[in-house]
Amino acid sequence: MELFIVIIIVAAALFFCIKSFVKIYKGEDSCGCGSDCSCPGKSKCRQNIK
Amino acid sequence: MSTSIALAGNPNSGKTTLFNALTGARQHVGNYPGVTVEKKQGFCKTDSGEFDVVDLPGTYSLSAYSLEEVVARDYIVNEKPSMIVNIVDASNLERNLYLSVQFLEMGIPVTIALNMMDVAQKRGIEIDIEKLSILLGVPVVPTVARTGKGKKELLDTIVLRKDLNPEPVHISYGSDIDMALDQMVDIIRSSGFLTQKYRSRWIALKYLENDQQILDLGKNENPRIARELESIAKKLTSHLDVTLNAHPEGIIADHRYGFINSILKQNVITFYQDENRLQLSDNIDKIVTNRFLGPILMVAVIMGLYQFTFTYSELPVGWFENFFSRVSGMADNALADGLLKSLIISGIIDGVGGVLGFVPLIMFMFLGISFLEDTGYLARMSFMLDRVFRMFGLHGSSVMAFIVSGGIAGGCAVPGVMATRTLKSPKERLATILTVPFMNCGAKLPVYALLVAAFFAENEAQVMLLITMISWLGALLVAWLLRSTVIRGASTPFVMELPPYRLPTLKGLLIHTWERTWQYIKKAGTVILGISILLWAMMTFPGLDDQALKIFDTKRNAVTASVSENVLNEIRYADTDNLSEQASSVKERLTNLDMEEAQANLKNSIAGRIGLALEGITQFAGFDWRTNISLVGGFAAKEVVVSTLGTAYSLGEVDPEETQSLSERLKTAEGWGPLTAFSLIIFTIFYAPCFVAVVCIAKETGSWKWAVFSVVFNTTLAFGLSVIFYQVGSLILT
Repeated sequence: MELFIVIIIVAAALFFCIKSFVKIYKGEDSCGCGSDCSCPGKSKCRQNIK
Repeated sequence: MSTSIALAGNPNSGKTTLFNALTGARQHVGNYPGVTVEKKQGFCKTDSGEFDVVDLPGTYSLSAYSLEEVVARDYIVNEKPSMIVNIVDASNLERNLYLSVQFLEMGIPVTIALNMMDVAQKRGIEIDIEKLSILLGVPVVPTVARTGKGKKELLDTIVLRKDLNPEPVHISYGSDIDMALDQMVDIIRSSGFLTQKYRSRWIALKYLENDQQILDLGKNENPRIARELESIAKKLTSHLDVTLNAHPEGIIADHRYGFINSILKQNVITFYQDENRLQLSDNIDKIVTNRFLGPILMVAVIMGLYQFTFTYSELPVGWFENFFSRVSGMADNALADGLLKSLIISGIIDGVGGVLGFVPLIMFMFLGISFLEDTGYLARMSFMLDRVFRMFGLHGSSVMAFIVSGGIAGGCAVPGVMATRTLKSPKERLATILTVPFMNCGAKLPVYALLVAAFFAENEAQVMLLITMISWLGALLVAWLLRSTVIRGASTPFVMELPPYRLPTLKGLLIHTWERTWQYIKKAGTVILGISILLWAMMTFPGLDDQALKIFDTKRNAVTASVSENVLNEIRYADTDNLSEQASSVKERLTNLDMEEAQANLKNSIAGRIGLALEGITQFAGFDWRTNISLVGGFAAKEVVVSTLGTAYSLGEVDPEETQSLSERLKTAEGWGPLTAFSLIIFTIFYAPCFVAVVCIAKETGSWKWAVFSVVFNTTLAFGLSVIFYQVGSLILT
């Protein structure tokens, strides 16, 4: 049971990291290094504040 | 239905401040030109109506000379917003109106927001707003974006004027140019050349200004007409060269300024104080940017910033460390031994806690940087460093990219790389892009803070200053190397605009500090947490095989079999401080066996094997296998170096009473000392940029070749420098 919970947590972390990096790669998310517009995508660097 | 408005204006005219005031957003505002490189969108709902607001990059003109100008112009032409709000700095009216005139020439709906009226008044400048509006033929609304004054009037004016379609302003550019323009307009009109998007006279003007974007569009639209127009422009250029020794662009700019002056001289602007008096900013600049005093003052300011940061953050950093140590201790007592406990304590608390422990330090650092930025001092730093930069083949505009990337400490390479868009020379831009990752970004800060606190506690500020100087010097030398070899090319001139000094508001400082600190906390709680968990798994699995476990069990059994049951019970139930000599000795042997097992498990893990495989090479720089694991993790994000060290040293610990902070653990760890710590600092300064920065480099240079180059070159350079430092240092110290 303990191993199962640990596997679930690690898998979730892996999924989250891959998702975050893909989003960053596509320019849909920022790196969050203490600056405002930090998405690397040229065309998608828009911050919709609604 | 909402009204679309675009905010446009010169850099540092207050566009982003007005954007924030209108939308309630908290976009970063800097007291230096070029904060907005990309456009930003927001929404504003007031009694006047609903508005979609776009903050365009700051530009001085609408030629396609730089990327910001292209971004701004393309948006206006392609998206056709209902109204352009041209933010004009009232204290620099003449220069700011140059862009306004170009809007008027385009024949698009414009409202002028005459911003910074308070600054203009303080400088003794009085503007007849009504007269200015009549002469320009567009509404002019006085505003103070910083306080939100004039916001309502501006929105009301936009609603009233949005459906009007103004006629373009025609400026006379002298007989030669006017004749050529007329000839070109006839051709453009009769052929419908690009007229779906642009006004015919404006297209003709762009041909005379040699606007590359319009020239390319023209060639695609109709090559024959394009050739005809280019031929007229060429003929005019030769004629003006012979008769006036001037180019059409220069004459066009002169006449635009002439048009502006003719308006201003009609009593639109009055200086009720001595026009030539030196402003307060100029007086301060006489000392601050002085050729000799300036650099000394700059070093003193940076030193003061570090001193301030380390002095005032020491106590709260201690509280945070204690807090995480207690949480770790509590989890240790509450959870049963096993994988889950190890994940929670070593992977999460000790990993992420190591990064979050530096939140107070980051906060104080950001507070100091926000103060310098908001006052306008960072722009002065750029101005002074411009001279130095040119010596190394970089451009004056490169300085701001360096500062944004963490020139003082605490920036980010990603916006730094993007800030290079203001550089017009592709070679200077490339050299800047490849060297900005050497700056000390916010992610490297916890690594430095950890090592400096652990090994250089007596001289924290001095060591941080030294780190800053090493990173700047390294970046400049690499830039010089690149500019003399692979990216050779001539330097381009640079004109720097110095914004006036401003007294930052406490609210503004707190907002800026919190925004940046929150980004740091958010990253630690999301991406860093995820990577920490993954690295914990890599440092835990596959674990020791049954045979190895059996060997440790046999050793343990041998120890326990050699003593009586009473001694074992004493170890199990008695207080650690009250153990008999024999029980203490047995307990120590058992603990050592547990530690040996934990170390063997860590070494046998996936990450451990990678770390050990690299140790053969990295030992020359003083790095052991655990440091190697953290540095490999640092490729994802630099904070991971700290979280991984936290996890690696936590997994090696087996004593439940052991709740030391990471810096305390490193201080006493084998193989660690000031020499190793500084070698690691050097490596961290120079090694490969993080994943996001690499992606950004690839996108901004348009090639993965340069992104791969920055990873390989930087890592090789970092390792070479660390080895030299460590080996020379070891020789001197032994």
